[in-house]
Amino acid sequence: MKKLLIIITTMAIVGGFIWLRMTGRDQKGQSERSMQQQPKLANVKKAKVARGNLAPEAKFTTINGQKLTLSDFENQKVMLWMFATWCQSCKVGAQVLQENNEKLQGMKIIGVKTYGNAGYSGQTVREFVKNVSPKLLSSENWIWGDFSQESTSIYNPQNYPDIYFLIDAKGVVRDIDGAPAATIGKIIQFANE
Amino acid sequence: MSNITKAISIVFRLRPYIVLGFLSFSVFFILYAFVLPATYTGGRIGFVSLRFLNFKLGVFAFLFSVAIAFIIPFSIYAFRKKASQKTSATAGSFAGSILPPLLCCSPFLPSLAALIGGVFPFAFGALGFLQGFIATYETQIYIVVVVILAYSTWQNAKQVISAECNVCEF
Repeated sequence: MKKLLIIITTMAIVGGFIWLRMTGRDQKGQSERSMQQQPKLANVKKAKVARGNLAPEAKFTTINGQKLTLSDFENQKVMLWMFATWCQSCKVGAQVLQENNEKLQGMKIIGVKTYGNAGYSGQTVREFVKNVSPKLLSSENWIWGDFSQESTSIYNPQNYPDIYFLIDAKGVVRDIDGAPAATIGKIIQFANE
Repeated sequence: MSNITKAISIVFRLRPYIVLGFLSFSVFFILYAFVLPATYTGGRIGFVSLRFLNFKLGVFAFLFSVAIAFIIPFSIYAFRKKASQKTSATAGSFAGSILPPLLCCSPFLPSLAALIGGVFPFAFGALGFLQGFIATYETQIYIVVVVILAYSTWQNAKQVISAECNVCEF
């Protein structure tokens, strides 16, 4: 029994150590990993959605039925956030973005539902926002809508349920990541640079 | 329920099993506290996910860990006891009696559920329907795991009692 306890304790300590090392690396490497995924994404289509490249054109329809494109926001910082309405991190992300909206006034935030809702049915965008972050429905720096199929295939061919692109005023993609709740710091930093 | 209370009084009268139960609870509670909220962090596991540990996930982490804190000592106790009893039972029947509860009660099950619920939706973007289903029914999936763990605890308690009282019928 003592041997067993010693073995379990040793395993727990070694496992914990390895895990802590990995999570430490995980946090540091999030952006890098997202970037590593993106070249794959960019290679699929002719348009290159990658950090440092010009953002390809994107089309979407707002919840009021207006058809807009990304180029309508020229010379403005933009956060293009693609989400699915069933996605838990998207719900928490919208809540955290709402809490921090005052610090995000320096950019337009385009929250669009991925075409096909990332493969699973769910609420409409209006219902999602009403339930999760109602103040953002009337916020001037926010635009909510549905992403077109064509733009989804360029920006999110892997159908990730929660992915965003930080695009500067020159139209260059500065960052690509997901889960705004976990990465709110860098979003605020980008908005206020 | 009486099987479980009996098994508790049998197994936890021995100090090493109390330590083992406590250790199991601590290790797995910490693990689940970090892993379960990954559903809110896009699959990121670490201190960033711990920040999003809410009441619901805390309760599930607690329930998973409590069950494991009973199951591991119960399984080991029953296994050791049965192994030390040189009965006429064949190796096959011995393995048959002890393996199913060990397999279904291992920490593997809730760990898998936690990973599926928390990380899976972000790890495999292309499997849209599956990830949407898992995310939508996450709470129900965790409830099923709790039920299975409760059943496993009861099964292991029976193993403990049968190992302790070799002539009893179960």
